[in-house]
Amino acid sequence: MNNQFKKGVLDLCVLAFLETGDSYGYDLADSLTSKIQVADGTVYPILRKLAADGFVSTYLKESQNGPPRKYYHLTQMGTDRLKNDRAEWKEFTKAVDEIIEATNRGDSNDKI
Amino acid sequence: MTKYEYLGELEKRLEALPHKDVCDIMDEIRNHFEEGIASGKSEEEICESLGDVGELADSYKDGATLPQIISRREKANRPKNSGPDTQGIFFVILFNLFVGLPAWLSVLGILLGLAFVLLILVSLIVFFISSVFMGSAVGFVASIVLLCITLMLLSVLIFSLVVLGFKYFAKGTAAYIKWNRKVWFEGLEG
Repeated sequence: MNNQFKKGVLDLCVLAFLETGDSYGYDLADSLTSKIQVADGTVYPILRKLAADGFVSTYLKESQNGPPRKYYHLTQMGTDRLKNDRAEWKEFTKAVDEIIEATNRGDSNDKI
Repeated sequence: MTKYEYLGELEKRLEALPHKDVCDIMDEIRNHFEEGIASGKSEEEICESLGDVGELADSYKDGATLPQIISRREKANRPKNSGPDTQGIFFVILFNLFVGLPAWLSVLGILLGLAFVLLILVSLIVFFISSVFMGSAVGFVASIVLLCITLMLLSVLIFSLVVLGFKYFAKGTAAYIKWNRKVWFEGLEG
């Protein structure tokens, strides 16, 4: 898939993952890359930016093996943004779907 | 590429960011390696899945500069002649009266004290050396030479302390004045 397409919506995806519960970087990278083909590294700058803007907060939590993990938690601001972005995204994709389906049908009609 | 090479390259490319940010980022990516290794991946595989080092560094830099750009833009958009901030002025005056000025004066006092001690040390050295040359201390030449060496080492130490002290004192004062001006005009939140 086109890289420019992906970049804009990854924030939304990360926020959506965090809505289901707090998580740490490696886990989020895993969840994201299992669905969307992007580099694992992509998730870290996004998390950092979301934290800097106050959409997520962080805390350290001991892990059974290895060093403590940095967990990310969706803040109220993040929840609001997710709600907003999700609605916008749905509206946007619906419009795009309609446009590309309509022209697609148009094309096939022309051929017939 | 090994973990060590990847982290080294990343750190090099993040150079432009503030030190604290770099440490934070390095910790996070280092943890990613450790998690990956713990789940049975090889360093090579992890490097590959993390993606190109340059791209990763660039996206960090984008994220770091954005808030700075936004705050700069906000500052530019702010009406210029809105005058000093009342709360800011109040804070600056009180803070300086009770904290800033006393702290500034005591640091200055310590530095001047050190400089004075240095002056005494140097004059002692001159005094001892001249007493040797004048021949008024015939019996004690060896001990006076030892004493002079000790005093010289001590004065070199104090001299460097004073020079460094004044350098950072000047820097600190400049930063402090800048901060005061900022609070004075924009209030504490600006």
